[in-house]
Amino acid sequence: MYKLNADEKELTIQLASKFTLIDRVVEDTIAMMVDGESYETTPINQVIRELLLNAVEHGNDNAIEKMITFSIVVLSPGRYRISVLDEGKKLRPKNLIVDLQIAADSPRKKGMIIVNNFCDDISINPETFAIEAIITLPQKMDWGISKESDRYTLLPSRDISATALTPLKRILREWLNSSVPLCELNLARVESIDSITLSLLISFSKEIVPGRSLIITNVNSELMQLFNVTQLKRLFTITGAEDE
Amino acid sequence: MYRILIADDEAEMANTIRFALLAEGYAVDVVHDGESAFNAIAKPAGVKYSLLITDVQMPKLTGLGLLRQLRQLENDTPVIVMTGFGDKQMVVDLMRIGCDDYIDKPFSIKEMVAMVARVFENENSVDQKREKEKNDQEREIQKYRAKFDEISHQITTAEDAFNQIMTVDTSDLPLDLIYRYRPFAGLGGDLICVGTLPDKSEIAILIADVAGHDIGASYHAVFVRSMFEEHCRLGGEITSFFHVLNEKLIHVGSEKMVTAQLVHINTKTNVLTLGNAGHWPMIRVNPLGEPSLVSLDGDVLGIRSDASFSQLEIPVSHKEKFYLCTDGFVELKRVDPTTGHSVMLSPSGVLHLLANYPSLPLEEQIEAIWKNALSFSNYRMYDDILLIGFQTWGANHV
Repeated sequence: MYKLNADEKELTIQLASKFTLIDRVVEDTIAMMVDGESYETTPINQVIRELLLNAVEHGNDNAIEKMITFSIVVLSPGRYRISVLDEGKKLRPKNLIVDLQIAADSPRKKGMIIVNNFCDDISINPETFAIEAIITLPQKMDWGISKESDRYTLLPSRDISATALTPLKRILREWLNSSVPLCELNLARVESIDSITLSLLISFSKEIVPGRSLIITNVNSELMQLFNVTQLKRLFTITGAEDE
Repeated sequence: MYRILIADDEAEMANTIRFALLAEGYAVDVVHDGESAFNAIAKPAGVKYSLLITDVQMPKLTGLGLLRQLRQLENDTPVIVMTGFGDKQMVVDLMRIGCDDYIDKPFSIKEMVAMVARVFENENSVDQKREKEKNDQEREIQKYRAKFDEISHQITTAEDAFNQIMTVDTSDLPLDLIYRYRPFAGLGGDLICVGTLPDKSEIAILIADVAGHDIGASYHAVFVRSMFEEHCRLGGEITSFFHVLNEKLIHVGSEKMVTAQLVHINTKTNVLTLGNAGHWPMIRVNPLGEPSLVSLDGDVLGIRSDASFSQLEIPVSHKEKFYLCTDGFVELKRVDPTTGHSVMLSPSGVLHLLANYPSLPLEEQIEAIWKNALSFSNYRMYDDILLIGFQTWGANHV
C-alpha cells in the first residue's frame, strides 16, 4: 500500500510498514518538494529515513498491515515540517526529551542523534501524537566570487566549515598570486565559522605582504566575539554588520 | 546424480529418450504436457532437476511458453528443446529467452545423449566459474571485513587511550576540581591536564582545544599533553610555555590552530596566574557568588611564529570558584523553531547559568550547568565540549 497526495506546499503519503517503501518516500519527497539545485538534500534524506525506520521497526513492530502516515509541509524556501504517525504506542513529549538525553549519551541511538542533529526542533504533536521535526536545509555553498581590478570579493552563501574549504583555499591562493591589492570576505550570510576555517585564515595572514589586505566584513556579533578571542582583529581589518 | 525431466506428449518418443538416458546413468522423469512440466520444475519444495528436455508442441502449455515462464521466475534449469526441422525463427526465439540448446527432429538417440552430456559439461564449467567468482568475492569480503575489524579495533583502542588521557585523578589535589567532557565523535581535540610544578606548592591546570574533532586533532592533543608534562617537570613562566608549545606545534605542521589557557595556582602565596592563548575567557566567581569574565589577550597557538601571549596574576581568597571551558561548550546553540535562527549559549549565557546556582557545592553546580547547557541546545553538539570548575582551598584544605 502506497498512497500519495500532493500540492505545492504539502505532500502526504500513506504507506504500509515495509522497509522497501522508505526509499520511495525519500525519492518522492526530494523530487516533489525539495529544490535540490539550491539546497543540500542529504539532511532531509537522512531525517526522513530515520523517522520512517523508527516507525516501521519500533512503532509498528514490523507489522506490514499497520500503516504509517508521512507528511511534509514547506514552511519557507528550504525549511520544512516533517510529520510521521504510526499505529504504535502513543508517544509522549516527556519520553522524547528522555530519548534525546539517552541518545546523546549512547552510541547505540544513532538514528535519534542523526534526526536531532539535523533538525531545528523535534516534538510530539499533542493532538495527533505524531512525531514532528522541523528542518532547515543548508544552502549549497556558493562562494559568491567577484573579481575586479582593485578587489576580489567573496560572499559565501552559508556557514563555512572544514568540508567546504578547498574552494576558499583556491581563491585566496589565486588572490595572493595576483596583483589585486584587496580581498574582501563578506560574511553577511554567515552565522558561524569553524576552527579549521579560522586556522586557514590565520595561516594565510602570514603570506599577505604590506600594501595588500584581506578584510572581513559584515561580521555578526557572535562571530565578532570569536574573532576577538582568537585575536583575528590583530591580523585583519574586521568590521561588524552594524558598522556597515 | 543428474535428474532429467522429459516433457513430450508423444509417449513413445519420451520413453525412447528416457531409456537411453537411464542407460547412461541419469535419473529420468517424464510428463506429457507443458503445465505438468512447469509445476514439476517450478515447485519450490519439489524435485530439483538438472535438465529439462521439452518438445515444442504440447497440450496446455507449449515448450516456448514453458521456457518463458521458467525464465520469468528466474529459474535457470538448463533446457534442451526438440524443434521441428528448419524452423529458424523458432530457434532464434528460443535462444533469446534462454534455451541452452536445441535439437532438430528427427534426431538419433546417440545425438540426444551426446547433447545432454555436452550441456552438463558446459553447465559444470559455468558452475565452476560461478563457484570461483563466488569464492573470490567471499575472499574479498573477508579481506575487507578483516580490515574493517582491524580499523575498528584501532579506533576503539585510540578512543580508550584518549579517554585515559582525558581522565584526571583529582583525589590528591589541594583544591577541588570537577570537570565534564564529551567528545563530538569518539576522539576529540579538547584537552584537560592537571599537574604539580617543581615547587610542589604550585598546581598547573591546562585547558586546550585543537581545531577539529578527528583523529588528527587527538594526535595534537596528545602532543600538547606531553609538552604540558614537560612544563610540570621543568616549571617556568606560562608565556614561556606557550612560546615553546607554539614553536613545537608549528614544527609538527598541519597548521591546526590550538587555543589554550594555563593556570598556575600557588597555595603558599594565594596567587593564581592565568595565561591565555586565543581561548575563551576564564570565569571567576567570588565568595559572594558573583561571576565575572577574566579577559586576557593572547594569540592562538600553532600557526604564526610571531604570536604573543600574556599572563595575569590574581590574588585569590578561600573558596573562590573558577571555570574554564572550550569553544564547543560556549558555542552550544539552539535553533528557534519559529524563525530558524540560531542562538549561541555564549560566555554571557554561561555566566547566567552560573548565577542560577550560586550556592551549590562545586560538583552539583558543574552538573547543573552541564545539564542545562545541553538542554539549551536540545542535546545537540557541534564540537567536543569540555567544562572545568575548580575551587581554591576547598574541601581538601579547609
